[in-house]
Amino acid sequence: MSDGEGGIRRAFLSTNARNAVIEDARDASPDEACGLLVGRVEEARVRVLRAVPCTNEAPADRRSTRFTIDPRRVIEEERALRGSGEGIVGFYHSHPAGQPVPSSVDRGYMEFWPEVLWLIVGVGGADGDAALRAWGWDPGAPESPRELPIG
Amino acid sequence: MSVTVRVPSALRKLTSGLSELSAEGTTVRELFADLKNAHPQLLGRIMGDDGQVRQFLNVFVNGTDIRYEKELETPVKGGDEVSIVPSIAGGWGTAG
Ligand SMILES: [Zn+2]
Repeated sequence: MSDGEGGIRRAFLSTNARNAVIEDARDASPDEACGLLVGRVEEARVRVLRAVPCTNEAPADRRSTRFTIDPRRVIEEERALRGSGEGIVGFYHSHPAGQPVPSSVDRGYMEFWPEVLWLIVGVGGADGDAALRAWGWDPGAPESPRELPIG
Repeated sequence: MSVTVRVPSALRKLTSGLSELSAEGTTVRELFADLKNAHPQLLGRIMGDDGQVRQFLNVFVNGTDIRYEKELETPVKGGDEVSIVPSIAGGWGTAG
């Protein structure tokens, strides 16, 4: 499945995007926040220009440990972006009570989105600090998902 | 008359860089059969070995999920827009 280019290696987040993701994660807590990441892919780097918060469509009693984004949000957003040179380059979600690393559930979905950026925000720290980490699924790499440096 | 089939820009590597494909057919199944030769990677993602659309894949005809229509037998006509979008979900903890 891999074309040998090696996929994305690094993520750059605009200040706006970073702030929006963290703010959404804090607002949604104790539920998981989720949304789309809009930007451009520049060779092996994903440049996120802005975040688009989405409703967590998981059942209400499960939203503290689950998130679901309506796939029609992807269709709508990409329609709006057509011709702009920008597209959906990834997704973000939060782990209100956990570390910002992909869970086994996350990994099952990441596999269907090869080479997009998955930002995960942990907001469960005792000091209230948000921890943000980036991950990518490269179908050609046995160590997937792998962490991507931010910046 | 051809039907437009769209895939998210993030999946363009499966379609030789195209996010908009053109296919012929009167049902979704026929469209996918028409696309299979030119885009085998994409079709491999969409269809399981059982010949059905994979659980984590969503197919919309003019914005309506084909699960609420006639699945692969959902009729299409010229000018319709078909979108293919994998599910976006996850969560903390283990599956269940
Ligand atoms: Zn998660």
